[in-house]
Parts: sequence; C-alpha cells; structure tokens
Amino acid sequence: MQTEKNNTPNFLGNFLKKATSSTSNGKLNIPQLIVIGVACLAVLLAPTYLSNYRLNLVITILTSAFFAQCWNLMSGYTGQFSFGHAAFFGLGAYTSSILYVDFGVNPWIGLVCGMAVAGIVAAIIGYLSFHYNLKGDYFALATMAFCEIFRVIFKNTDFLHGASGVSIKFSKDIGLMQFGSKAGFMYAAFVLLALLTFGMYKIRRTKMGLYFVAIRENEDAAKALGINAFKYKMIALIASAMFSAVAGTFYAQYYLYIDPNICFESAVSVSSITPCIIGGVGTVFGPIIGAAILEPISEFTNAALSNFVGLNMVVYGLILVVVIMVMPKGLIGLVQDLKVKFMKKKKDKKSKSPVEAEG
Amino acid sequence: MKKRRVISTLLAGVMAAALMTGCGDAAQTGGAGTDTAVIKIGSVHPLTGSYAYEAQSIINAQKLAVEEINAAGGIKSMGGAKLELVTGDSQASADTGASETERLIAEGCSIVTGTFQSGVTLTCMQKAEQNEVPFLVTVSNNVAMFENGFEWCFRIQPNANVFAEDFIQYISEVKTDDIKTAVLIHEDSLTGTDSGDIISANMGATGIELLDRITYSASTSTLSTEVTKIAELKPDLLIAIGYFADTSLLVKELNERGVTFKMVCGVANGGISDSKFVADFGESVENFLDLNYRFNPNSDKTQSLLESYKTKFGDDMSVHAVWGYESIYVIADALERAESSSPAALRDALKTTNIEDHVLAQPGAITFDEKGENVNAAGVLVQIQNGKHVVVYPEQFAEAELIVGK
Amino acid sequence: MNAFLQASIDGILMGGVYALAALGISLIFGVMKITNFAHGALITVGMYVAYEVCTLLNITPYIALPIVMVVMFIIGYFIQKICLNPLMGVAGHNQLLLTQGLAIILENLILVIFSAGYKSVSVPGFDTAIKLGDITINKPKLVAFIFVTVITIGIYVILNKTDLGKAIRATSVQPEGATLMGIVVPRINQIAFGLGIVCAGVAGALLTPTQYIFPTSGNTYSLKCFVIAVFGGLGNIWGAIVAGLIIGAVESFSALYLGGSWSELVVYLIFILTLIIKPTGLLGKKAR
Repeated sequence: MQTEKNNTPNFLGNFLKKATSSTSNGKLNIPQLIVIGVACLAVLLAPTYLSNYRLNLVITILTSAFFAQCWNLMSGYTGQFSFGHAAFFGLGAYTSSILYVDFGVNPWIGLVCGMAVAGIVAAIIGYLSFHYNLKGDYFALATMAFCEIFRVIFKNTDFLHGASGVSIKFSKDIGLMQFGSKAGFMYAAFVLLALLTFGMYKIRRTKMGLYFVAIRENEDAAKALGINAFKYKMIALIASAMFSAVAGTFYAQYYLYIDPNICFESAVSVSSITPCIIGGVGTVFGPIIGAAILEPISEFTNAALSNFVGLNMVVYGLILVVVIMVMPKGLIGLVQDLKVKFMKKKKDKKSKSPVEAEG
Repeated sequence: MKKRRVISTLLAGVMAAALMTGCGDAAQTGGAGTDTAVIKIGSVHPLTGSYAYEAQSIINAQKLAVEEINAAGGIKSMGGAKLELVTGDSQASADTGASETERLIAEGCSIVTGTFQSGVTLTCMQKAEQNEVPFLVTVSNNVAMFENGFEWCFRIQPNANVFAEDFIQYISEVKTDDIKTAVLIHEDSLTGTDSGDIISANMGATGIELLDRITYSASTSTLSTEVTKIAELKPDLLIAIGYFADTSLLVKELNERGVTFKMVCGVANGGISDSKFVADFGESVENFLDLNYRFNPNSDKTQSLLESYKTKFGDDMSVHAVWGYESIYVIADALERAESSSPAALRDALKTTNIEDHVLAQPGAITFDEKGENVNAAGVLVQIQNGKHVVVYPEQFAEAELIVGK
Repeated sequence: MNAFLQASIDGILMGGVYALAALGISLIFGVMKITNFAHGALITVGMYVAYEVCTLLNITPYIALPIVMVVMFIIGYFIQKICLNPLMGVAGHNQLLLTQGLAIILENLILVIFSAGYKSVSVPGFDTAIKLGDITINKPKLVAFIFVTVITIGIYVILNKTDLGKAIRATSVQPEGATLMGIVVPRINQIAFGLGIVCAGVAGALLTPTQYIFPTSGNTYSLKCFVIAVFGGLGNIWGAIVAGLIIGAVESFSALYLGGSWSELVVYLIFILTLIIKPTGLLGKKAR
C-alpha cells in the first residue's frame, strides 16, 4: 500500500495516510514522528495552559497509559492474557510505602525494592503457570486468583498494616518522590511513559521482540522453530511486573494512601487492560491512545451525569461494550482495516464503470 | 457493514465531544470568587457501588440542609448568598474519589465534604490538603487519618477510638452482674478492625471475659459457621460491629437457630441503628443495643428535621444522614463568620467553630481541636424498644430506661 | 463434633446454590469458550426479577421461579445474539472484556431503576430453622438445595436426551462440524447462553429469602463460581455440582477453624492448585 500513487496531489491526505500506516520494517515515518512530536510538546507545555484540575486529568491519562503499557509488554506482545496485574501494582505500592513509613527508607530506594519484590513474585507465578502450561482463560483466571490471595494476605496481616492501609505524609520534597506540584508529577509520569514506550518500540525490532510475537501468533510453531517459549514468556512477565510495581509506587506517592482494596481489587487489573483493548492490543501506541480516550470519557460522564446516580457508569459501560463490538482490534486496528477497505474501493472504482461503483 | 460504519462514526463523534469537554481548559479556575451570590459546597460520596444506599441518605440530608438555609435567607453576612451542593460520585474507589475532589475544587467549591469510606476519605483529604481547600468529613471513623498533621481537614463525627472507649465505659457502667462473658464479632475492613482492636484490648476494664473474637469479610454470603461458633460459646453478651447487610445476615441466622443472649450490643453498627432493620426483624431484635453516633432526641430541632426528611424523601432518616445535615450547618456557620467564601478564610473560620445549637447527641458545643477533630464528639447507647430506636444512656440524652435481660 | 457436623451441613447446602450458578459458567464456557464475567451481575438481576415478581403478585420466590427462568432466558438469549455472536470469531480477550462491560452496565442499570436501598423477600414460616437435636437446618437453603437438584437433572436431560441437547453438545465439540451438519450455530449459542443465564438467575432467586438484595449483592459469588467451574472442569455439569458442594464445605470448615477472613484464601489456593495439577478439573478427562 505504500507504493500506491495518489491521483490528486493532496498533502493532507498523504500525511494522514502515512501517519496511520504501519510500516513493514517497524520504523516510524516522518508524518508519524511529527504527530508524536506535537503530542509530546502539547503534554510538556500543558502546565502553561491548563489549570491544576486539568493537569490532574493529564496525570491520570499518563499513569493509566503507563500501567496499560506494562500490561501490553506482557499480554499484548506475548499474548499471555493477565487478569491480575493489580498484584504487581499493589506489591510495588506496598513495598515502597511500608519501607518509607515504617523504616524511613527513601521512596526512590523503595521503588527499586518494589520492583525487585514484584519481579520475584512474578517469577514464582510465571514458573507455576508456564511450567504447567496454563494458557488463555486459564492463565487469566490463575493470575486473578493470585491477586485475590495477595488481597486477603495484606488485609489480614498486621505487619503489613492490615485493613488500615498505609498513609504517607505529604511533603514537597522531590527527594521523597513527591515533586511538589502537579506539574512535577506530570513530568515524572511523562518521562516514565516515554521511556517505557521507547523501549517497547525498540524491542519490537530486536530478536527478542520477534520471539514475543512468534509466541503470540503460534506458540507451538514457535517452539518447533527452537524458540524457548518458557524463557521468553518469563522475561516478558517479570519485566512487565517490575514496571507495574513502578506504577504502584507512583500511585502511592501521588495519592498518598493505599489499602488492600485500593491495590489488589480486580478493578485495578481491569484498568490495566481497557486502554490497550480500546487502543489496540500489542501495538506500541495503543495503550496511550486508549488511555487518552477512556480517561476523559469517564471524567466527562462523571461530571455530566453526577445528578443521575448510576447513569454515569451505565454510559461508561455502554461505550466500552460498543467500542469492543465495533472495533475488536482496537482503534489502531480499526483505522488500518478501514484504510485497507478504502484502498480496495479505490481500486474497484478504477476497474469498474463509474455507474456500478456508486452502489 | 454500513450500519457498522454509522455506529463507528457516531462513536467517534461522542469521543470527540468527550475529549473536547475533557481537555478544554476549565473556565472556572480553582477556588471561588469572593463575592459570588452562590457558594458551592462539594460532596463526594459512593453513589454507585455497595454503599450507594447509605451515601444517598447522606446526600439527601445535605440537600435538605441547603434548602433550609437558602429558604431562611442564605448566608446573611454575605448579602444573602445562596448555597449550592455539587455532588461527586466516588464509585467507592479511592482514585475516583480523589479525582472527583479535584473536579469539585476546580468547579469552584469552597469546601468539600465526604465520603463514608475511610480509605476513600483519606485520599480525598490528601487532595484537598494539596489544593489548600478545606475538607469536612461527613462519615468515616478511622483514627489514623487525622494523625497526618493535616491543616485543612475537619471531622465532626466521633472516631473509632471514641466509639470503642465510650463502649467500654458505658458497658461497665450499665452491665448487670449476670453478664460475665462476651464474644466480639466484626467485619474485617478498616471500620470493623479499628474498633475491634481497641475493644478486645480493653475488655478487661469492663470485668467481662472476652471468649472469642470472630472476624468475617463484609461481603460474605453466609455467616452460618460464625453463628455455629457463637452458639457453642454461649456468651452472655454479643458485641457486633458491621454494616447493614452483613449484620442482617448475622441476626437472620441467629434467629433461625434460636440463639439468644442476655445482651446484644453493636458498636457503630450499620444494621442495629437502621430503621429498616427494626422493621424487618420486629420482635426478635427488641432490646438490642448499639453504641453509635446519633442526633439528640431531646431537641425540638431534631424532631422537625426527622419529619421534614420523611416527608421529602419518603424514608426514615438514617443515622449517617445526620452528619451530612450537620456538616452543612457547620459550613454555613463558618461562612457567616468568615464573610467570604475563599477557602482560606473558610478554613480559619472553621478552626474557631463553636456551635452550641446542634442536633447531635454530644455533650457541649461542636468545636475542633488542632488536629481538626470535634472535641466533644461522643457516642450514645441506643436501644430498640417497642420497634423504635431510643437513646438510653448517658442520662443527658436518654429518652427511656435501659432494659437489660429479656 | 457438633460444630463439625453443623459446618458440613451448612457448607453443603450453600454449596448447592454455588454449584447451580457455577453450572451456568461451565455451560457457557463449554459451548462457546466464553468466560462470562457478567455472571455475578446476572445473579443480581435474577434476585431483582424474583423480588419484583414476588412483590407484584404477592407470592414466594419458589412459585415465581418459572417467570424468573423465562425472563433470564430471554435476557441471556439476547445478550448472546446482540453482543457476543458478532464477536465469536475474534480474540478471546475481547469477549472477556465485553462481559466485564456488561457487568458494569447491568449493575448500574439496576441502581438506576431500583435505587440503592436494601430489599428483602420473606417466606412465611421460614424464619426458624429445622432442629434435629443440636443440629439445625436452614429451611430456605434446604429448599434451594432441592430445587438445585431438580434443575440440574432438568439440564442434564435437556443436554443428553433431546435433539436440542445433541445440537448443543455438537456445537461445543466442533462448531464448524456442527454447521456442516445443518445446525445453526449462532442460534444454539444463544440458547446455550440463555440456559447458562437461567442457572445464574435461578441461583439468585433461590438466595433471596436468605439475604438482602442490593445492586452489588451478586458480586460475591462471581469469582467463587469461576473457582467452582474450573475446579469441577469447565464444561462439565457433574463436575460443577461436585465441586460446588466441596467448595461450600471447604469454605465452611475454613471459617470454623481459620476464621472467616482467611476462608477466601483457602478457596483460591484450591483453585490455583487445580489449575496447576489438573486444569481439566476434578471430573475432567485426564490432564494433558
């Protein structure tokens, strides 16, 4: 489709076409880079033109995109659908918060410890699941159950603050990972998301990235080609868990209070999945596009329907259902499908008589 | 296929609209203008989710108070400025609560109230604190949340410590000699655990032996095993801490088995203090006690409040609702003295609150200590007598004599 | 000893209701390979339908059951027809998330229609338990257990002795093959989903005399039903029943010996062990 010539020289049309195309070599073309650049600039300059409240929305979008990107690394790239990413999120949040509140350990160090804890737990969960060859819905249910187990343990163990949860004292010290202002938090979230997304982009073109995709598309075939599926699934899961822990620590430092329900509820796991599904599972920018669409919608329905109890959630649910029905491959998938169809029609138009083509 | 395209176009439209409203800059900047004729009060409660019923009753009472104040001429020191309640739905989730708090502040609320669940309240308080807008807790009894050195947060209701301490004190004062043993059963979330810890640690002071402490998850579908345990232990006193649905489950299963006690006492129990609970269980919960916060039954103001709530919403006012109602009056009083709706002036005025004329069953005025807690907050013993809730102890608020031993 | 016996009886009776709800999940997964996350919400819907019928006609939930079944079947039939059939070919995670979306819609639609208040249904004469010496038996749960037995046998008969059942089973084994044999697979899917939802709704209706009804009251059962369905072997009717009874009893014992807070943990541990040791479930065919 790259080679097809456009009859009328149309700069905008060409730009759009290129911006929405997926190049065969996985590299970004210039229009795509421009779109990304503009989006980044818009975010980076946001504190100059947005109020504190709107910045909060931007932070929510960035963090939810980050968490979704973590899920994408594991479930999108290798196709192992996890329904329990809240477990790693919660472990990250709890490790740094307990270390800080009870032992005075700096949250930055806590962040690293949280990553380690989540990584170790992910290794155990991954070993049990992949060694015994859990797949598809079974794997999803297993991760969900692990997450529930953590919720019960954290709720009933005094050493882990039990049901009372952990509350962190507010300070404006960047050394304590609190960045002082909304803008500070926003930049931190932006950097995290940008780094992870860049990594996700780069990894696709490495051997490992190709192995991931091979496992997703057909694990048995991948194995037959000599790919160590177990090893690469483990790598994806552990990496994904460690980044999810970062999301957890970041959450704890931003909201300054966590408890077992906040961290380990299945709603948290769902929140790591929905942006990917809306944007496009297994794509580099799907989670970001999904979060940028979903978060404003939920904010909007909350505000617009606040006087009609329950209706806000009904509308949110309806949008979710309709989106999945209309574009099961996510927004990115939909755009590509439409384009293929559009091209086809054009071709048909050329070959057929103009009268017929109208139908 | 065509139909599908129409749907997707429509959807894209909806999204675009949502994005625009979502991302367009807020016309109203944070904080409130100084001389507006309308003063906005935010209210974040879990209007959807498991606590929707309780949340709705609190909001109803808040609306009632706002209407009363507006009908009586608004805030007089500000030229009769009217109050407006702006509600937010926390969806029983902490981060939604926090972002709703942010939204209400951005929409110009001078103060935010909420939220019924301690975990959610804490995150909302953190947000209010960061935005330097006062936060008044309607219902949430966790102790630790006021130990963070917050400067913008206030709470009228008694905390879990006060409940537990009052419980220990009152029970030792009113118990009869034949009550020797007790079992404590409570749900295992923040609310139940907080009070449960203090009661089980201090039970010795009452001279009653605590045989066992049983915990369960509030969302449980059955409590038959817990009831079996209680039936085996045969305590004289059953202490129950829980919400409406789980306490009802407990009482239902106790009734079926015919397990009775010399005394049943809840601590801030969402079931025993609820009028629907009494209507449903009738005779079988006669003489049940609950140590809870409550409106002062001996004030005329309360009686007219109960009546107007019932005529307006067709339902008996719940105990939680009182705190929604009183919170608005505390805010109105502060506004009256601050003569400004700016958050900072309001906060300073709240700090010097001293309301003698209130509907709460607490000795003395509503005033806040340096932490922001109501100094005189207290619980009372409420008993179900002839299908009605009556305050029986302490005597200052008592409507009837305490009945011990059926 | 008495406590042990009592706990077993309570657990098994409760397990019967779990089993029925889990049967629905198992059936739906067996035929369409859909993990239905809206099951808990549909249990709640069953409760509200039963409540509405009972208060309107002034009857007990047991007499209202046929109406509940019809309503729930229609709801299930159309959910499959409108939302799930178009998605039958695409990746599994979409169905998972779609049912999650449906759960959000249903739960909050109930809130919008019925408001948040606690509702209850009372059955005359059911406020005391049957006493056998020191042991007591909860009447609503006993009656529920009997209904569960009857309905399970009914579903067994439908699946094994009727042409419809043959078509459903054929679809579950090989949808493409079934199509070739002239079976209209989408319609069979709709019927199967409808039947699964009937199980959820009836379980909900049978629970109404024992608990309060509010918009999220079915959610407690959701994950538990998955545990049971997997433990018994997804797609296996008798497996779901046996697993339901076992999980009911285990829950009861762990509440007795470990305390209610920890009892959930035991259930999930069993779940994970099943997945690891024998993912085809208790009564499933031998592990891969």
